[in-house]
Amino acid sequence: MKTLLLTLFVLPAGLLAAPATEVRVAVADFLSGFNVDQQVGGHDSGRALARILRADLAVLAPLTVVGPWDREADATDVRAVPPAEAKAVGESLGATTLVSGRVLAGSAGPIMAARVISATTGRTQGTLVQSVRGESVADLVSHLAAQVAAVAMAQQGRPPGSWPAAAILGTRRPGSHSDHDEVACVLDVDGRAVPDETAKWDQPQALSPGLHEVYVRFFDGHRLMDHDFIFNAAPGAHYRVGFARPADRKATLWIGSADSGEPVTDKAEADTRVPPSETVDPLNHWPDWVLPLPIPVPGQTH
Amino acid sequence: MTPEELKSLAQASAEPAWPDFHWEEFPGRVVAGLRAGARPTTAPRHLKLAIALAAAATCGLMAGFALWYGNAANSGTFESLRDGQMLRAQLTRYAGRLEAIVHDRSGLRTRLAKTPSVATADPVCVEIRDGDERQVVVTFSGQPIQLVDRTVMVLSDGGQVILIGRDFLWTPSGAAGAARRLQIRAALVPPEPSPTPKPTETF
Repeated sequence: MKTLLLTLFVLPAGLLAAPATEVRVAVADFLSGFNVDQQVGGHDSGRALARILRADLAVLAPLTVVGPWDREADATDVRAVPPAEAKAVGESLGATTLVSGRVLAGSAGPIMAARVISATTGRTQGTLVQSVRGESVADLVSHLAAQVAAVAMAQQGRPPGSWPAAAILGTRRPGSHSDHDEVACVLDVDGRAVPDETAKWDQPQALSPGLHEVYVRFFDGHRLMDHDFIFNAAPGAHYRVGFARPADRKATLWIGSADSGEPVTDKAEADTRVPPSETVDPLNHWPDWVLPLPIPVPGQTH
Repeated sequence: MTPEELKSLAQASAEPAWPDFHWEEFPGRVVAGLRAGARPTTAPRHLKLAIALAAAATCGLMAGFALWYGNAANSGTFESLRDGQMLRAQLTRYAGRLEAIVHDRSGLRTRLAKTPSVATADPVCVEIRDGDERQVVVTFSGQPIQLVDRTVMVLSDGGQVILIGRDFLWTPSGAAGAARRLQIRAALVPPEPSPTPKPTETF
């Protein structure tokens, strides 16, 4: 009888209840000055950083990224956005949240400030991140994405989300073509080298949620072969460097899920060129790879 | 003492006399006084110095009082505006149109939108001092503030206030760009009357 009552009354009521508000974010290109371009050694830094931000926000469930929000006509970025205008823009983009921002040159690196506007109420709030010495731009933007996501969710009446760091480690197996074990490992993350990488193949490297460039290395005791991958790390995920070494051929490398083994990147033939990571400042590492490349979307390989 | 005793004592005493250097300097002072067309002065130098010091001290005290009074008055403006009482009154009067309440050298005024189009969440109070120029603004997160040479945007993240503009960033923990030369303090304004206002953030 209880079950019947539940079926008749409670279940339909649950089905009729309003679904949880979706949080769909549209991000405009950020504004930046020449001094920021000089600092990071890039061009149009605000635009590039906004592209990374969009990708980083896309992995922070339950947020989804729409847009982008084209704000060319409002380049000064110091005009208030009235609620009616925010609502109209939100409706045109299918967005509940609009984000714009500005990048400034700080003493230790870029400072990113974001303006987060609720398209439903017009409520406008801000949040910012400042570089600390040695921090990569990828991590800086990842932190901003988490803060923007928290503000956006609060504006839509959603409870705060939790987006823990991901991790990546290497693989080792007995060598099939030599006496030495074959190791595929992480050589550097966003320009930060992993010291003694082949020996530390099983040491997990933390990845803040979002876009990262990861150099991986294959070593069979005689030859070093490397490849770099750009991929979007999901919060809390565990990744592993995978490899295959057909006889008399170069190794094939990829990054895959440590749990399922499914690749999250292309399988790429390694090459023997020396990666520049050991000598590159992480701060100056990003524009070359961000601007010309399509932003990877989670669940899609590239 | 009898008159005879007094007379004999006076006759026995030496005649009062100027010291030698007085007679050496005396002709020169007379000549200088005649040339200047004035009577020679005999006022001692330390008296002049004392008068000058007293005048300087008086001026200093007056200037210090004026500065103290000015600061106290402006500080009072910030404190009285940040409690939100005036903001709530103006919000009632100009529902949806109030962009800001501004107090500067020209006095207290409101900045209004032509139509009811202002999001009035997250009110903040900001004081900006640029040399002699000083303004206190009560506004809302997302609204611009006009400075002498630029416009900056006020943003609140719910806990702290951020001012951001072209080559301009201020937060309670630091400043970058043109904000470095300004003295700024900011506080969240309680949307409802609060018996214990939040501590002022200064930098």
